[in-house]
Amino acid sequence: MKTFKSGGVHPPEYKDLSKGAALERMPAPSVVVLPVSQHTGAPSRPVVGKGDKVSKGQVVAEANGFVSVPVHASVSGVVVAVEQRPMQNGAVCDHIVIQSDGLDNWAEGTGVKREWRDMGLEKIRAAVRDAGVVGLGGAAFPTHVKLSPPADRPIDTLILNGIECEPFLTCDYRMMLERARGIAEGLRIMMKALGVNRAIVGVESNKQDAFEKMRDTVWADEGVRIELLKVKYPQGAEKQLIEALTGRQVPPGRLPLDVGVVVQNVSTAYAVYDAVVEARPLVERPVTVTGDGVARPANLIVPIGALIKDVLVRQGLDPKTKKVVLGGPMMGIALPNLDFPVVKGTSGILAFKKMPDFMPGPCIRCGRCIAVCPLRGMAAEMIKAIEAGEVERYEELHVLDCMECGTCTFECPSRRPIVHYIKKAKAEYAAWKAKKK
Amino acid sequence: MLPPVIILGFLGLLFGIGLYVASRVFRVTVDTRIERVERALPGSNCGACGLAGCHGLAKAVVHGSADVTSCIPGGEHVAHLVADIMGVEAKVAEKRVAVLRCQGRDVGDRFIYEGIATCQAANLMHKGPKECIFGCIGFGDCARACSFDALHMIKGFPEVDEAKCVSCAKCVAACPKALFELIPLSKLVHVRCKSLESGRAVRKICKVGCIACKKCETVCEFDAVHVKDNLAVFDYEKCTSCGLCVKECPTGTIMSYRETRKGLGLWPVKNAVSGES
Amino acid sequence: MEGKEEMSDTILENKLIVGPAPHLGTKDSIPRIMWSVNAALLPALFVGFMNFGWYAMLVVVVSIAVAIASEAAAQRFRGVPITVNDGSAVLTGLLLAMCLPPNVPLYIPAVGSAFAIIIAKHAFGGLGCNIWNPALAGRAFLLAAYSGSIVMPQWPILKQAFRGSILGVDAVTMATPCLVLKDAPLAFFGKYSLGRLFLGAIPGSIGETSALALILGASYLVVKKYVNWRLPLSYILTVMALAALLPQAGDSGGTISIWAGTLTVGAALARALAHALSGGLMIGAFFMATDMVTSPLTSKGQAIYGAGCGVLVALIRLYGGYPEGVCYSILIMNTVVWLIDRFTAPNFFGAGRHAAKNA
Repeated sequence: MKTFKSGGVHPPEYKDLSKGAALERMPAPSVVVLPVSQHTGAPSRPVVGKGDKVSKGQVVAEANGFVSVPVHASVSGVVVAVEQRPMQNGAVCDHIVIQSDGLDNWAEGTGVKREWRDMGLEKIRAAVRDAGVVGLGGAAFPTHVKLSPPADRPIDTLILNGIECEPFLTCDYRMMLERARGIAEGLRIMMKALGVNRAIVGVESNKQDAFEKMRDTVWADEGVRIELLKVKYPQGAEKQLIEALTGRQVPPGRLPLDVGVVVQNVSTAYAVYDAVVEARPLVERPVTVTGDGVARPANLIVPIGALIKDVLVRQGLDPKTKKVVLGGPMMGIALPNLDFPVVKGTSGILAFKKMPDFMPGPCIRCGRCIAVCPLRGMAAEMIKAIEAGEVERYEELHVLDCMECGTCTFECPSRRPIVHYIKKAKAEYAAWKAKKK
Repeated sequence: MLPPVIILGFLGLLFGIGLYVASRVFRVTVDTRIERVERALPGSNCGACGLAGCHGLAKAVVHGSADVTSCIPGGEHVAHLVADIMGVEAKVAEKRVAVLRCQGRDVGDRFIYEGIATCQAANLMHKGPKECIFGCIGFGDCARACSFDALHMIKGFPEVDEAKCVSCAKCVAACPKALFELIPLSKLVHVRCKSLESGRAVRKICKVGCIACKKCETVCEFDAVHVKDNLAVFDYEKCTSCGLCVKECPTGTIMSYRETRKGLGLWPVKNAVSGES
Repeated sequence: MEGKEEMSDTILENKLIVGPAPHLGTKDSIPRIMWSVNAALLPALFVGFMNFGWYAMLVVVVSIAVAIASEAAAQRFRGVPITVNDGSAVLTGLLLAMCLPPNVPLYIPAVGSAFAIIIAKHAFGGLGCNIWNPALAGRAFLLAAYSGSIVMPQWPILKQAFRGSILGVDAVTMATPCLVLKDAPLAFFGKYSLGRLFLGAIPGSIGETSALALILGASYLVVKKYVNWRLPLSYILTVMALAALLPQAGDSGGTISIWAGTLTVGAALARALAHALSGGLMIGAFFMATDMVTSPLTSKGQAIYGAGCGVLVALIRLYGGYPEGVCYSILIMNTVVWLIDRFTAPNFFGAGRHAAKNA
């Protein structure tokens, strides 16, 4: 079975908690909070104000430039505020707060089915952009930008990421099991938009039934291959996936399109189908709610902007919960409180009651962090330089190229917070570079 | 006896001529002022001037790319010495000290922080564990950065020793909340808060934070204090350190340093050369 | 802030924990590693008890006790938390004792242990910061300071396993295998057989005698991935290869032609195994050189390091003044570990030979 060459770890999967839970649509909550910056790129510009009535799927913030997408209301109701609030990553941006009227009235023009085979490339890309589709795997990069590669970077392969290597998460798995036809259609649309006749769908071998479902959904002559890959974290990281499936290595600081590949998540493929064929904007997404702190782990279709608090309480949040993480446990963000909203990039909400003690020790130079790093970085050397504050050496040590997958920190017997050092170093470097100018 | 004497004498003459020739041919002109300036400098290589140690500054001063007053830790004394060596007048700026714009010793935590125990690292996690996101986090990055023993963590909160502070600005760079400001010694009154939150929000989490009540702005006769974005801000050009706003401030956010500086002998500020205040 | 929803204070009992990702970790920890290594040394310790009796165990106990006490004192002095229960001081004390003769006066393991912990470990900054293996540094110190008690022409062993005291008449003294290889290599197989060397009923230091016991313990560590098998393998194979192929220096300045005629594979192999199973090579290769702190970071680096140690051991044993070279070979290689690390740094992903051409 194919896998990426260097490094990788095998964290316990914990997927049994939610893998049997079929996708369940969460009804509209009483309030949704929509940040204007839910994607990588320029934050959107609000186009509604306090007191405006909105329908579901109506644009409430417009795209701001090419690398930007609009934000749509995920419920019908009234805008009660447009105000600055902190986001999950600590930065501050405008948030549009909508009180739901419970009616879920869709905006005009949405839901009118289209035949994508009759649409030209520009129309397809515009439909994807106007629906606000971004990468749902976590990075939230505007999909229409990925589907519009520059002329000097020819693409020959589209890879669909059905790996879901993070422990606990099972939403992509359920999407493949239950919505394989929509995913396959989205795949075909993306192949047309990119002008490729070759696509590979990667699925980890712990999802045998999803693999078979996908394999049975695509036609033999479509140029689409479904591949089973070895279970190893971080197989789902795009550089590792590209290496495993095509043997090509994306150089540091470069993108997959520099090696002729575009990678998209399976849920993004479904969102593309929804946007182009069903003419529905991105107003909801699959989210795995799990952990020992929820009584009823589930894979929910959550309206974008629903508060984490509302989602967790619905699934039986235990008051003794000590930690809440958005995303997977390897790369997810721990929240200081439950008042944050689900955004386009939220693939999981984890609630933990039991947490191990935090007691980092000294580096014993065991070298495990280096052995497991999928990018072959020398973590131990990086940390030594970061502790000494040697900012000038960060670039040559590839500190800036670290993808913060957490493999090194997972493996460290001394429990050193390596990823935190890297984050601190990147901030330090940015400040130093700015001062040098 | 004679042959060795002749041989050695000849060799001595040969080497002597060789050394003389070498001293003319391989002569390197070094400006002796560089060494003299370097000896006048403190020699701690702290880097506050932005150059590579005291030798770097000495070279820059002699070559004209740095001013004779560049050595901040050296202060007036060193500035005058260097000026004498260079044969110019020293226009010394007023001595400054680091002032900490926060008094939130007792601010609680919003969450339990588990990560690297430095302020810069903690600030990356949702702007730090403290309830006030503008205030001091308390892990001591500033104290660790100070190489002049002028900053100490007392019960988890920094205290500036103004007698030792040489305004090298290392603490200014180290604090991720930018809480330190270098202000001339003669300015005695400061607002020790940087929170832009509304008065009500501040009151909930900090007893000594600025609540933007505007009493200071009302009472100031010199138009030197204004409340902008929920925070009292001083215009040091206009402030005369009269202390009226200190009396008016209901939360004690505005503080006067008059007594402490008087006690340390730092105020009234004396001119280093003339001895006048 | 206006429009703020009801705060979630009332839903959770405690404040949430916030920390950087990842939020999961391996079950491994430093104490687990250290105590596993301690446990892996127990078979060899048992053989030591068998060969040398209760006095040897007393030497071990003194060494460990002084190591723990020294670490507590040093950490107190440094003002850092005391971590003696992580097992690393116990390991240093145990390893040091395993390298000492069984009949040394008790002040020797005490002084050596204190030196190893205080100077070779804590003076450098504590766990993780030392450049030289502390146990070996302690042994080297003892060799220099008390060579009379450690360098001996005849070493004791109990006449009957487990019976009696090494200090009394129950013991007999003989030349250790290393000494025989040094002084009378041609007569080696007359005195010692490979089987006896492997099992360990031979004189020597307390823990180094039984290759079987050491390999047994070490295989546990290899399975748990605490020891990279490449290091001891390259170490031992290098020694074996050099011992088989190189002629040995004789006392009178010539070389002893060890093959007395034609070189046969059997003779070369026998000689190689004799060297591999003699002296402290087994314990050095599996337990000393593999110390994580003082060995290189990468697998490739560790293999090179093992080979380097092997070369040094062979040179010292065949041409040097000492019959045993393991201790010094590792200490010397410790000094160049930083260099090995620098030259064995892996190529960053996408930046090496496989870099995309159109990047």
